[in-house]
Amino acid sequence: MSGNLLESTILLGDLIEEILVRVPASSLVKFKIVCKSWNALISSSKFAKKQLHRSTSDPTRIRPRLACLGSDISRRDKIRFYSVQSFFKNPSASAFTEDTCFQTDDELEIFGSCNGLLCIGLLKGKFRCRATRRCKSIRLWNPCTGSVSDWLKIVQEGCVHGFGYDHVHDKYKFLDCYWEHGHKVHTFGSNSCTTINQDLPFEQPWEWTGKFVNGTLNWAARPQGNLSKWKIISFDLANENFCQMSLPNRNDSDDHFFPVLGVWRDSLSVCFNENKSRLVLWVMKKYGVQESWTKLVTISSEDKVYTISCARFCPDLAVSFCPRSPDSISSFKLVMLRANSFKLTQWIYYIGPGDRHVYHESLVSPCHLGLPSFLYGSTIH
Amino acid sequence: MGSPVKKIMLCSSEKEIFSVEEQVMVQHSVIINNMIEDGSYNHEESKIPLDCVDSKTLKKVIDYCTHHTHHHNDNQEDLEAWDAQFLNVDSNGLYDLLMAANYLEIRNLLDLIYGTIKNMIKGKKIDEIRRIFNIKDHGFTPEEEEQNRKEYPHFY
Repeated sequence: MSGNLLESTILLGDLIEEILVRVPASSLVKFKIVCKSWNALISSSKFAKKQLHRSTSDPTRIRPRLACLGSDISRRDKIRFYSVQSFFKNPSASAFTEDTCFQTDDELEIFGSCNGLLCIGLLKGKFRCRATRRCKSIRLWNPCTGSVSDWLKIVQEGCVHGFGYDHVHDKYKFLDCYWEHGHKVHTFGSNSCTTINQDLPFEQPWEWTGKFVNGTLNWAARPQGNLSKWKIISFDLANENFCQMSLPNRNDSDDHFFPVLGVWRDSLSVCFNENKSRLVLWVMKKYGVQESWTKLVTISSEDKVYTISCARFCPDLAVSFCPRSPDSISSFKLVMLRANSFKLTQWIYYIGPGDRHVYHESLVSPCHLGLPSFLYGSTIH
Repeated sequence: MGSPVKKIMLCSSEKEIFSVEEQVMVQHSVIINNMIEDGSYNHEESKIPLDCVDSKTLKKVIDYCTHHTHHHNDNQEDLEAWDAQFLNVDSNGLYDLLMAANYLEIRNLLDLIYGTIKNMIKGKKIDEIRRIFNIKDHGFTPEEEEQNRKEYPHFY
């Protein structure tokens, strides 16, 4: 089709909005310089929410991106971004191109991602000794719009944490768990921090970052005194309390297994070994409903996949990470999951502490949440 | 043999009368559905005046609603192919359809048109988008515009 859409008339504002809300966030950022009214529309918080809702409700339109934290030669922390889609289209490592990065002299950690926002922690203590690492500040960053909040000072007491969206109160929250000694919830944009005193009679989880699903943060943990009975601990971001859920029933008497939680599309997933010979990925189709655990895929040990830890946001292909060996963090593969099958990419080598997040691009920006913020990088204003 | 199919009259901007199955329009147009439901349409005398929809466009709109009423059980691929063929019109035709679908509140047709326009602007440069949407006054000061062009030359 050629020619202009309207020779003498101007489209009404709400019709323009209906068209633009269907456009991916990465293009909308560029469309800000079309005209002032588009700029105002695309920058508004209301439109950002509408666009997010629209873009996540249609799984075929989702273009997941990958954020990896790593160090460059000068040992400076750097967050690199990749398009997952292009990588699967052309499965050679060269297609896996970084396109924006965020660099600092300080040590960073990605505490989670949600609705296009990354929650980034600034750590104190120069060496990568996990036991003594404590976060002193956190910030939110939308790499698509370039909007980044000022550092918000916190005193992190524990190591276990999570970031997510409370859809009941329309707030983004950061949870800092000091495990047996109380927990703190920081609500972005309200300067408020609540302390929760709820006993968690569990060992501290192995994976510190809670997986965000359906308004909750989730960890796999073992009850104290019964270390073979893994459970899922779930924190409801709206009610601000913890509850527990069970894993799917394992068809195996061997108690030595280590479940790894993930997110498959918008559902909680768990991956663990069975009979030492295969790896099974389960999905909880309806959050909180034990009967809805469904076996999604079984991977034999010959494929040398040790675990699938994260998967998100795709219609037929899901993105997952599997380290090269149970304790290696220097390389990983992406796994493509289709209905009952899977396909692995080549090894992707990469140096860093292992923070990798798949996220969905949006226009939701820290400035919409009432946070003091600025623009980082050469993104359009 | 059941009762005869109930019809309603639609009147285009050229005062041409179109007789359409009531069910077809009720299913698709929120506005017409409301008129029938609240009794403001009288089957003996009423004609629904559509002063902002010309005959050519109205005929297309009726085609769309009729096809989607009688073929809603077709497989998705066939329907999509039909829709693609249906929207193979010039940009003025597309604009007229958009206005008509918006006026009559035909949601699935609106969705289809919005999607088509979205695809028209996909990957386009700023100048092309301004032309497609007939944006003559971008509202930026000459300094701002110059600054944008300098900073993002590849977008123009």
